[in-house]
Amino acid sequence: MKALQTPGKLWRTMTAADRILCGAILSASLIGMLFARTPSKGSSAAIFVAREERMHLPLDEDRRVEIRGALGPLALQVRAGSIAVVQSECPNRLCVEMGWKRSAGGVIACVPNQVLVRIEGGPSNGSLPDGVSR
Amino acid sequence: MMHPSISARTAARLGILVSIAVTLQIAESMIPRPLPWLRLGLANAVTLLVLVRMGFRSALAVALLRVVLCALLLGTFGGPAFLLSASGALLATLAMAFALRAAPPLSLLGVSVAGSAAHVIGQLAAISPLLRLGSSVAVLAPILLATAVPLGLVTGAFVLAVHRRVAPW
Repeated sequence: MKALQTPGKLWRTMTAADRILCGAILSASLIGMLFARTPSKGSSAAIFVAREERMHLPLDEDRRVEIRGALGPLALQVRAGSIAVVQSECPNRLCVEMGWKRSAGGVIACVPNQVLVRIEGGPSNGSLPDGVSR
Repeated sequence: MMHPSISARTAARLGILVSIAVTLQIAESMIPRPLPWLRLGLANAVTLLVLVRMGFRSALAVALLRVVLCALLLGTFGGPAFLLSASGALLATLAMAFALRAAPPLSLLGVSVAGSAAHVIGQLAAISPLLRLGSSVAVLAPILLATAVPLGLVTGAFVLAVHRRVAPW
């Protein structure tokens, strides 16, 4: 009745098939991590305002661009293969705080301004989606 | 979905089990997590217990009722979080039903791990077209799958303990 209070007892309770299943899942995920865990550098950034693509900026050219968001002007800076929102008229400036992005698939969003910057090029990326689910 | 006629005893039992599952899931949703998608899945333990003791239909009913009730209580009904949890719970129940019948027998620990992994796969399958996260899912999937093993073992150990202690019904 004092079942399963230590990892050792847990291990002895497992059948051979249990161990094979756990091993298979763990090795599959390990292989997956090896393949997916290489963030590739992006080649360009697509700028969306209110879901419409406005601009396509190559990341190998340093420049500063101003665009009009839903709330006001927003300044983007491209420098050394990275892009950032450097100035924005939104209340919390989360887009500015997101800082510099360079990996393909990387995203900078300014929700109040309805501006989305998405870095393109390269098959995979290293950024994790975040969100809340219960 | 349910058997055409079930006894009042079974109906009452299922009601109690659904409410236990709802309580566990809501309690769990209040615990802060390191990653938003990382969850122990104790509510799934109830599904497994019902699966072992009352069969597939009852388990499916308990799992789906739990998901719908939790979504209504937490205010996520119809939203992406609801879709995630519904497809995760559905796939986990199916996977555990198959795992229980596996040819070299799995213990409840292995069945729970299978359910936990299937839950992850169901969630990712539901979310990837929703958010167009194709490449991010490729990064997230192995991490979540790896965590599904220890979390599934913990849940499985819990189910084993309950199954051994609670008199058969």
